[in-house]
Amino acid sequence: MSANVNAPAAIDARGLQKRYGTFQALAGVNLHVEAGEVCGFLGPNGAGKSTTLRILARVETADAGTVRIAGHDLATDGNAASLCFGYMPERFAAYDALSVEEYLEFFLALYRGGGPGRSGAAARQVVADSLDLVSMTFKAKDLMGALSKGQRQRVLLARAVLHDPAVLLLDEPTSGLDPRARVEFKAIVRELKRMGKAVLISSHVLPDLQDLCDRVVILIGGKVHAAGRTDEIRQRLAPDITGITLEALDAAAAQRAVAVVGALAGVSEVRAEGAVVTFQITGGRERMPELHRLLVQGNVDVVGLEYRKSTLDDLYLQLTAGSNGEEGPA
Amino acid sequence: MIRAFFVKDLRLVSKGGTPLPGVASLLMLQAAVCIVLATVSIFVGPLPSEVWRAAASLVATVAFVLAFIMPATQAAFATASEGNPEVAESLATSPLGPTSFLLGKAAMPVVQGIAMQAALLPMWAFLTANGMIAAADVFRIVVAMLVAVPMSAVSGAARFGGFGSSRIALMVKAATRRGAVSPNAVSPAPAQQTWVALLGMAWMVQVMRGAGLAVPGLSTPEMAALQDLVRPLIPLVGMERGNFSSWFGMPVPVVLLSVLLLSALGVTRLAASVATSTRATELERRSAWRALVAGRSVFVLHLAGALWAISPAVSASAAGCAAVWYALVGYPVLGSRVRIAAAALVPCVLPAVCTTAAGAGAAGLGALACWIGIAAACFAGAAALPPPRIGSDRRALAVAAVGLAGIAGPVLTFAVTAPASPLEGFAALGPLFAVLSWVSLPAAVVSLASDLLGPLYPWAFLVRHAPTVAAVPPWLAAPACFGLIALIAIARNSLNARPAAPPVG
Repeated sequence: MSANVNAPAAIDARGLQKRYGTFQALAGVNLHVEAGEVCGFLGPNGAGKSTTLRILARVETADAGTVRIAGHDLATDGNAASLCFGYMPERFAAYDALSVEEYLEFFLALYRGGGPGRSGAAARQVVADSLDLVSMTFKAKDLMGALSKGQRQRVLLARAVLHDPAVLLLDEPTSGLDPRARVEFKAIVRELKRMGKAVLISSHVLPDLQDLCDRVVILIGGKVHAAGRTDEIRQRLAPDITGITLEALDAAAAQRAVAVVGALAGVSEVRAEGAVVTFQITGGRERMPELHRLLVQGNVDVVGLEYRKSTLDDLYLQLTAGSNGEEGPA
Repeated sequence: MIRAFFVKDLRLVSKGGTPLPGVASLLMLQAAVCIVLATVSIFVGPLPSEVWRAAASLVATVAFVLAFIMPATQAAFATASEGNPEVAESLATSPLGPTSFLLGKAAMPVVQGIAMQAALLPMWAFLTANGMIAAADVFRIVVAMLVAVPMSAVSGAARFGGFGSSRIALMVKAATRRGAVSPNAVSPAPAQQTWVALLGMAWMVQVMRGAGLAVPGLSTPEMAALQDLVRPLIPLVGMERGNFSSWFGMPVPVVLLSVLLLSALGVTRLAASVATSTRATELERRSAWRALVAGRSVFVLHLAGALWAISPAVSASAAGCAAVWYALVGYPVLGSRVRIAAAALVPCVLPAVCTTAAGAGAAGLGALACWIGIAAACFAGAAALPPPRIGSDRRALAVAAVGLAGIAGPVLTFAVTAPASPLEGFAALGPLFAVLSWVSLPAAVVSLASDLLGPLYPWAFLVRHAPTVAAVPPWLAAPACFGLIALIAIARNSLNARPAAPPVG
């Protein structure tokens, strides 16, 4: 979806810096997301993804930098900006004694203020529509404290879209969800994209992002390492990486395969599980004949060999190979 | 948004039990007391008049507790649910300002507090019908309590020190790093203990009166003026003195002062919390500082008015010290030194006008001169100190040190020890006290009032024992000292005067 050239960017963050004591969580992060765009936010633990999202959502303040949401400066026009975004935090707590409906009505009233639709039938209709969007209508009367994690995630999403914001900030929205819930969640995000919302998703479930995102931003050590359209980034950073899955006859053959593959130039991420060996190799299809020849020479009994294009997973693993993955404070 | 919080809290308390806890119990307790009193009267004989008087005082005390402490406690507990970091995080993303949040959280406790006061009406009616208390007294107490309830509720909600993203960030950080919210986030502030101490003092008065004991000093003009000072806030003090207080020598209905002072107290608590919130909009900040200035002006004016009966010197020195204290504490919502100093002048205006009028003539002109001097001290002190920054307590500590070292130390020491005169032989300490007084703005105020409006006992004692204080009076030395610092700071373009608001959020 192409954005109106005159419309302000959905998210425009420049030079965000944040420090916790001696830990530099963000060191000049720039972020730009257009309306109608789904942007993935990648990075290892402690990279600063959640910190960035919390700053965008006004939960935290940056030490330096500017943020504009749909043209509203957070520093000078924060309340107007709040009306333009919905935030779905990673962690969740609520007023457990309220029903789902009451919980959403409360937040709707906060967003609507004294405006129309704050209460009464109009408000109930807005709440019903939000619950319908996340397929939670059947739980409207249940207490918040009685919901499962997946159901709570959905209610959080319903709360985020309650006031019809132009921008959605989703922090690890699929963590802890079962496969079906993840598929359903992706469908909801696609629907939001179809509605013209800009969505910024931070997630570790990379296959989800690959399917959903128009663009990705990769954050490492509090700095943006790469940003752009998903395919472009993949091509730019990992143009010729091929993922290989080799099924050997048995575990002993798999170990011989590991030895053979490990000696090859341009091979990384070699893993063996039972008789299956996975690894990445640079050079693409052109390396396959060489690989076949060496496997035969190494007396590796191969049952099957699959190769696939590089994925976001491969790219992520390549980029974060040097990071220790320690959990930061945010 | 206030309504949203009220509806939400009403739903929560309704699901947790009853929306008006204690009302039914209070009604039943009153019925039981009435039955007991009636039974004793019928079968034993008329109760002594002291019992009836004590009953009126007891009901007033109960009303005081229910109005001052219960709403604050309920509001503090209700606000604790928003102290949960995840809930706070959710609220922080909404367009919710500190004013709406605090008033919203105070709404339910206000309703509960008013219901409790209403539940006491049968007992008031019973006592009035039996002639144990005048209807005018009941009216005064009930009105004061009804105003005290929202003040107390707002104070309780504001105990979180301001609804701000920085506060929320603090709680979120605590939860992130330690896995739980710091218990300090919801612990009662010292203000709660202050109310309890006040209540204890009031209760002692009731006990002594009930026991037929004379309260020491109650008959002196000084104690009467002190009673007039606190009666608007604690209506059960000096109940026998009627419904009028002496204010700048004029009789003024206590109920009017109660409404004025309690409203000012509530507004000031709300404004202080809003002013220090990083979530406040520019409009909210401006409104907050106006409310703070207005509230502080009311308190200074009341001090001057109530203590006028003792002497103009006492009135000016006490109210002047309060004005100087407010000037030193400053206004966190204002940025530059000059703006803060200008705001510090405002609380001096009304007392200057009123004391000039009340003095009528030479005494009035003296009072006007005194208040001009106090205003100059306020301006100099406010401009000399670095502007307060949100979230910093260092300035308050410096202010406390200056105030205590300069005035409380010498004056109180001399005043307390004068009867025994243990310091008679320590004349060598005089220069030290003089030095402390010279750099203390409160000392400047007291010495100015003493010179212009009449002797003040502790100050006169100090001057007699420390001749250097008389040689170079603090009213000249201290403002000159602070004024010089202020001039240098202003000339250097007030390096510390940048607003403390964070760049984002």
